Amino acid sequence: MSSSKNAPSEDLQSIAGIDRLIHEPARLMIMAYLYVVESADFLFLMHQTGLTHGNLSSHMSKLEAAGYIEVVKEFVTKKPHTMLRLTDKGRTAFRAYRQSMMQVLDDLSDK
Amino acid sequence: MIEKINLKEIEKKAWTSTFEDGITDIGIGLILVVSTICQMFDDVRFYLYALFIVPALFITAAKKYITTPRIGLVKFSRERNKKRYMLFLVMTTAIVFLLILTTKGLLQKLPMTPLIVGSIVFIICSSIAYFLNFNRMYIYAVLFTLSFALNEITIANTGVIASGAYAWLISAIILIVIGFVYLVRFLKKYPLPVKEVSDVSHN
Repeated sequence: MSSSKNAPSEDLQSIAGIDRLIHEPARLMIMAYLYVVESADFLFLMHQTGLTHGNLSSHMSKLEAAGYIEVVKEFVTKKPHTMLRLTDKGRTAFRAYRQSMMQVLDDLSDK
Repeated sequence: MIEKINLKEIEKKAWTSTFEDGITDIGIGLILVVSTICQMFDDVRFYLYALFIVPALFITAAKKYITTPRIGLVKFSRERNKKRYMLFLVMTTAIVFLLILTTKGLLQKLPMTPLIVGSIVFIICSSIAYFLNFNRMYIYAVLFTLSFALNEITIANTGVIASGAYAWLISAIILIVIGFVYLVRFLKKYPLPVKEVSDVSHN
């Protein structure tokens, strides 16, 4: 009985489905940038998101641990370069997040 | 996150950031300088075509040694590459059309030749602007078309091919100056990172 008391009302069920890992603004920015490009390096993401080196590193670690992003070593003009890209799991999670957010905002609509 | 996040705008912002360095402007300016030289020394034009390697080398080297170390490296999506292929297709069609007109001698037979060629130049430049989201190129398209018209008018009035070359040189100087302004702003905005951040040693 207690569990049904604590459960969200049916109207707001969609909120519970939001991926908290992506929902954090800085991580959402990182995910959004990596979603629209094939891959980018650390410096490019730093400039685009406006995050500091430490901040970006810490968020990257969390996303990498969740399997949302992967670190790829590529050779660019014969030099090894570290590129970051979304994994298939990350892409699916980001799409699902967008879907959930649209649903939530739709549910919260006052129209 | 009530604020609307437009993914297309994010991609466009990332893409256009690669034009913030002014390198492309300077590169196109250098192409026009070489064109001016080729027109000025028309009799040895064939040998001077080799000079077109200079702007190509400049753009490649500047992107590698100035831009990438400052803003980082990014690989864009397939959608963006499709736009590049479309641009390549439009430019190739326009250039082949122009070559056919020139080699078959049709250009001389057609009325208002400068207008036709000027329109082709405008279409090529506008296509670059449209497909690459390189908005400054629309202004350059107008500038090139005006230079072309000025070039043709001067040649028609003087009868000397080299006399119209200055028209391209004016455009070249304008482009190089604009490019340098962008480059200086870029260098101030993106200084070389003190810390090695290209490697993700985030543990």
